Amino acid sequence: MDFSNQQNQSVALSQGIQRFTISGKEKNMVLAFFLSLVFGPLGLFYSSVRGGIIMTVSGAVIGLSGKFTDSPVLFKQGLIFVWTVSMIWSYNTAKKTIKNDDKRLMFRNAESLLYKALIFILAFMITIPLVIILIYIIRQGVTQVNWHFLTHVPAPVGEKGGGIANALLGSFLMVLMSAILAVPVGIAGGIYLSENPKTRLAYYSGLCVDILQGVPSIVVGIVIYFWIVKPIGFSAVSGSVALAIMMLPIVIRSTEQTLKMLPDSLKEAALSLGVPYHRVILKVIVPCGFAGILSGIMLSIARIIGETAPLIFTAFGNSYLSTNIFGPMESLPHVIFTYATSPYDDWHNLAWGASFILLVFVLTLNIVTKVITRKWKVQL
Amino acid sequence: MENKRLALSNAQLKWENIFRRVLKIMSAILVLIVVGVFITLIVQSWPTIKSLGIGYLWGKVWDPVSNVYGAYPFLIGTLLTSFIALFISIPFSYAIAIYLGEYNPKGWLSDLLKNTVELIAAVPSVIYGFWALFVLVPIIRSLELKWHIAPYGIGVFTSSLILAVMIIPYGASLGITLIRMTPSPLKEGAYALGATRFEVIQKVITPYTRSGLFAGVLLSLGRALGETMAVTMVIGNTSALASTFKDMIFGPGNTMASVIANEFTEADHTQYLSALIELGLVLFCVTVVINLIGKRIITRFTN
Repeated sequence: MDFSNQQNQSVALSQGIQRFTISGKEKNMVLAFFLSLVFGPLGLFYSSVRGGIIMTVSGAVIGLSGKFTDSPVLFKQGLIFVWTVSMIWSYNTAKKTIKNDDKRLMFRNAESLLYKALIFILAFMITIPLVIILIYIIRQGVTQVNWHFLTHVPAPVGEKGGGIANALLGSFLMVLMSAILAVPVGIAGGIYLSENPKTRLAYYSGLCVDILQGVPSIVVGIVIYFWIVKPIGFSAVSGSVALAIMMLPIVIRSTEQTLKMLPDSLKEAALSLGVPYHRVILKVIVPCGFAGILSGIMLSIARIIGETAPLIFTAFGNSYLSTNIFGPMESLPHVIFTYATSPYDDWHNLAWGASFILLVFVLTLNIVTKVITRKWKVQL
Repeated sequence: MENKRLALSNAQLKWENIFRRVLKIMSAILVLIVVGVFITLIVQSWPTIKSLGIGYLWGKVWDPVSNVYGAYPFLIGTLLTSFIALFISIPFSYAIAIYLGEYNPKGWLSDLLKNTVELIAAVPSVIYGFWALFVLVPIIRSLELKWHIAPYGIGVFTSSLILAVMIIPYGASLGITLIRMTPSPLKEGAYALGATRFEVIQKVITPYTRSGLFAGVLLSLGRALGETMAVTMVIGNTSALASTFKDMIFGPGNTMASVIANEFTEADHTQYLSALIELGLVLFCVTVVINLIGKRIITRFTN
């Protein structure tokens, strides 16, 4: 008995997967495809009468509604949609009628290859915007950057020169302060989560990490405005607290993940030697997971150094060089935002320079983190 | 001698307890922050909640000068930008996830793609906004001229495009891990029955990872909803609701986050301020719900 020439073959891979049955009169796939390419839903009648009726009716509905609502964009897009669907439909129904196994296999293999090519093209399209953005920023920014640019405050409109020293210093101070605030809390929270994963507090603080990770940065800015800016005014401190809140969840998660991956025997060995618990954690566990924790901290810094939204109404910005952490302070992303949306070309150039510097910082931090994780084989 | 050792261990015990307590307090701080954020938002937006109630969300006019506040234009703006961005980004993040998860998990080409995705996620949003303002906006403007649409350049569509680029990495990186978790017996079974690679992806991997991929879409939606700076810079910032559908998509608009960013420092009376904060509250609640659902799906999937 020849299985390959059976009239009805059904292939069911596992439950939930539809049956694939070959039945009906054999149709020419290429003809079916071209008929629907040229005639759209009408061409679909060749391979599937039911499909033809459905697509013609829906095409008519879209066409009529486009006509009555007087919207050519909708009409055009709708027609393209109907055309594409009927092409795919007619191809698929025609495919199911082919009785010659080799021929069908050829089509299936071609389909597979085509899909692979499509996936490849779509996946690598993502490199286009990145490359364009990087090249554009570098080309615009690199000519701006020189020693004068890095050591001077912005010049007033109309004057040549000027730099972003205030923003550099401000960003550095604020990131430093937020790291000082967030790193101890984050590491301690991460240790707690990895040491006591079953307690109720761990459940709620794990939940809160998830929540904080998703909270829009602008909301954090609003809240810090009421917590700190209302009592003491626009200040670098408030900006740092906002950034620290953005930083916390990343530090906690990376610490938790790193420590969870350390073998229990490490802790047990230290404890059996009579070492007290806090020294086991601080002298054995944390140093062992140091690379992971460090890369988490660096990733979080790379993320907050570019945050603008929470700084608009906390640190506010300041066009003078300032080290007063209780007064308004400029930062790199904020200087980019204000000068990019200003109408002056000089200021745009300043913003391009600042963007270049910011981009270099962020990319360097990311690359260094990558090197660390690769060197110590950390999984994040 | 004996006493000294006892005293030492007592001191150590004391330190141990202090250490444990510190750890507990530090993780309690986190809970306090989140609860504090929520309470602050509610308390500060209370005047608007009390006076306008739920009608605030459907009010079509936002006019601070005459003290009329309706969030409808911003809700529409936020939903439009986020969902258009989501629709644009889904094919790309799916392709990246399939390529890195199934076709080519190792090798220099996949390393290149992986690094690209990570760098896309790393570039600060203000830089995306700046670039879009000076490069993307003119391109869109010339396209709009060609399509016979009012050539604003800035607007909902432009911000959706730049948002789409920004959220691709979130869906993609989650998708890669999930697609790699498809049990190989399932795939091998399908191959043994003679399925082609396309059929395996379409009929085994995609159904198996469907819920996880959906969670990835949810998480990137959460990102898109809350994204502020890039959108603020290119959306055009008008609070008036566009009259036609075409204007809604290609004309200038405003999202909840961009309104807050633009008007918060200008808000000069309590009613105005609390109306803005209620926008923040809505944004907070929506993103929290979306994120928690997404995370719940993922934890259920991975266990």
